[in-house]
Amino acid sequence: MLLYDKYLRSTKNLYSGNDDLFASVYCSNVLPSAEKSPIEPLLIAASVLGIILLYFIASLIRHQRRNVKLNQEKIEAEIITLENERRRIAADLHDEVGPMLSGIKLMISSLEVENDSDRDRIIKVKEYIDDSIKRMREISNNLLPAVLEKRGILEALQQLFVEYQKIHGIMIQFSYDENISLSSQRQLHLYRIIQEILHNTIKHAHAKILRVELLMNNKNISLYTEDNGGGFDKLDRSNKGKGLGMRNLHSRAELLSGNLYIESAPSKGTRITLNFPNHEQDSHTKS
Amino acid sequence: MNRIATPKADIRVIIADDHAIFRDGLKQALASEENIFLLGEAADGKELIQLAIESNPDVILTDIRMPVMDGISATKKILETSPGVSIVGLSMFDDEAHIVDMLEAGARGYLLKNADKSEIIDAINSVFHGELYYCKHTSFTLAKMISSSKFNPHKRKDKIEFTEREIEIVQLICEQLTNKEIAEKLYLSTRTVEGHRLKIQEKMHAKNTAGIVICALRLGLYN
Repeated sequence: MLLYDKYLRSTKNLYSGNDDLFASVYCSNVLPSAEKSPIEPLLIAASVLGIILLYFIASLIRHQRRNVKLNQEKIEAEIITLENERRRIAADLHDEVGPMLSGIKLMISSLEVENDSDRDRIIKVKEYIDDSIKRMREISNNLLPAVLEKRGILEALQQLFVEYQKIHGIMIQFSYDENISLSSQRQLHLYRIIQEILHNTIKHAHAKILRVELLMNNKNISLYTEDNGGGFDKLDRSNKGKGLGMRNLHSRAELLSGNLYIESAPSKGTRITLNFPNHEQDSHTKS
Repeated sequence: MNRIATPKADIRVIIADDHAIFRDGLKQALASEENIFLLGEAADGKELIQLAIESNPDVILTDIRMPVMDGISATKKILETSPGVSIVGLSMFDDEAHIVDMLEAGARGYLLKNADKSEIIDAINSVFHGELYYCKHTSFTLAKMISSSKFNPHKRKDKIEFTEREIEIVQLICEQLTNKEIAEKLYLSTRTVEGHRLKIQEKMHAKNTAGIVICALRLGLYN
């Protein structure tokens, strides 16, 4: 409060002070021998104070900007670390555990037994190993969908939606611009955002239909989603503090230099819009 | 399957994979086969090349992704010096791009690592007899990739003639319908459809559904 007062006062001073400074400099040049008015030292002091304050405010703004940037870089670094870890675990599961389980299955298959019940047991064990391999593949895919890196965001999303429709019985209408292409880092952010929205739609909103649109104009990409689920009270939500999922959503949107709008009310469904620049360079020049 | 009646020739095999457990499983699966002799095993592509030169095998089963040197480069190298050897690529499910690279490098077939023992034996026998082998779990996308790749195993000059009914059935097979579903759709008995399917397989020289789909895509019977 005190600081704010001081700030107000100083900005006032600043304007008047600056004018007077010019005046005083002008005066002292033109009339070097003129008597000094008693007000002059006061003016000089005010101008000096004004300049110091100007500098102070400028550095405050600079500091603030740097802080925002640092914070964003920190979030970015955290998310990149997280994704790298996920990638490593997914690859290890896939490349190490997979062949091991397959090897074990082959060993079991080459057992020769006379007993019928033993033979049944072997068949059962083989089925279990197959299930384990399948489950392992799913886990690895959840950590990082292989299709995302190999075929890009659109195919990865289509696969994700087909899977969700099958498992959760939700209907997803997906329309998109075929020309959308993003760098691997950015498409991963977008994928995670959509994954998070999908997760919320099913887990919290209990929606039956979700519409997803991914459009592109020359400079921006827009994501628009709408569900017919329960929705939520935004105020109530923010009182409880943002959930981890929501916070992730915002962080990822920030990493895309995007604007995220969430529109929702109880039993009115949820609409989410995300606009972000098409090109990577924009994200750095903006901040 | 239909080779059971004919006397089996001895097939000399080497295997390559960087996972000892998988090699072990493979070894034991092959051990029970009378006509298959395992000459040796390698843990990476370099070892495989060395072993292939030393032991001159008929068939090589090799992992695609390996340290030091991968199966694709090893396959190319081996086929340069000994073009007679039949190579089968092994991979974990979703290395689709690698599978296509492997076939283009000159492999005669591929298997998924979680294939059944019988399928592995079948693959070894098939490539040994100069046939191609596609794992029966070939996904449709993979079939499409194989059919549109430079790799062209179906260089037969004689054109294959299909009846209209057969083409109809091939298209339904490509749509991943089972025999029963096809039968229901075409108002035929399941048995009739099975008969047609066998005939199609014979005409296409395909071993399994994957072979039918790849051949159908290549011949333009299904898009």
